[in-house]
Amino acid sequence: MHCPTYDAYDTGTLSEEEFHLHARQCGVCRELIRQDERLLRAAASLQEPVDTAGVWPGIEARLLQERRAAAASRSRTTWILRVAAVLVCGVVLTRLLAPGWPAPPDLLPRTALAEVEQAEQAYAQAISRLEREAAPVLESMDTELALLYRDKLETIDIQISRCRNALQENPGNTHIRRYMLAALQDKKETLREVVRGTSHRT
Amino acid sequence: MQESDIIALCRKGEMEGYRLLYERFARPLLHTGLRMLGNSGDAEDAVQETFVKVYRAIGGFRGTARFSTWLFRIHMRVCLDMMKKRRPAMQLADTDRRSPVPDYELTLALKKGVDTLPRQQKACFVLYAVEGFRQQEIGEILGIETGTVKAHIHHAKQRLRSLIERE
Repeated sequence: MHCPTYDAYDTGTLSEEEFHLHARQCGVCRELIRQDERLLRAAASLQEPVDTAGVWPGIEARLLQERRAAAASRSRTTWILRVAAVLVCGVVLTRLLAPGWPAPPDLLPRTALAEVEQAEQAYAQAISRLEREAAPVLESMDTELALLYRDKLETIDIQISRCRNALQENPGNTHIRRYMLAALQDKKETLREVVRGTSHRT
Repeated sequence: MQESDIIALCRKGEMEGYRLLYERFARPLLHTGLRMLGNSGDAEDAVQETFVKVYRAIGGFRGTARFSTWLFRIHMRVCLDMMKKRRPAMQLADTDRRSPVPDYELTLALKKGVDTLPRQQKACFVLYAVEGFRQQEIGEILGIETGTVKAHIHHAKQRLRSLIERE
């Protein structure tokens, strides 16, 4: 049993009004409507009782397993990042406090200093923009992952602050400028990772 | 509790949030899994896998689509993946013979018929006729145009109509 007008209506290429006008004169279409109604009533009865209580314990066990696995992985990463941050800060502090710091050959010439300061400003602007984009992302992130990122950013900020303090005494010092630029780059990349990370998640 | 509060709990990794989500959506998820996969064991596995994927992806749910659409999108992908990997079970769901369903022969014929539908037609028909989703929503769940959903439902009904008219 077939009518092309019914097919057109059922697939959305004919309006309901036009179809019902046609169906008044078409016995085939009226029979197809009756059969469809019977089919859809029968389909609704396929919603039979299901045991939902018995399934939850298995789901809960899997989710707890996921949570433990994720926490173990993040602890390891946090530990590694903390050790790395302590090492970097240790190197910076050692260079700052070591006798004979800084030696004249480590001073930047004036033009190079201007260029480095420009580069630092460019990083600072990019960081400021990324911080605004990253703030809502961090808010909506999984708590443990957000803590990991905030930790890392805080450690880098401490690095940057120490470099800035040291540069007040020695603005042309190459080594401090280098560490400062490295820290600014690290902060920018971390913020980019935060912002980019969620666009791959859905 | 509002759905947005439940989702916030889930984002923090709180089991209570997932338990509340489960209470809200277990029945339609299990029904859909049962119709798609043909037996309660596979349906339960599919629901479990869906919740694990929700746990991993909840941080990326931005609220631009309805949560149920997002959830069923994950669930249908799980079901369709399972159907690709496993031979669809032709046996009836465990509860069939115990449920006092009127017009038993008709329901039986329909279940057999739905089991034989091609994957996408089956997905569209089950979501539309059994779970009551709107065609546009089905399109969002399956990632296809609404016109394609209508076509799949139309062809599914054509195949099933001839089966049940014999009963």
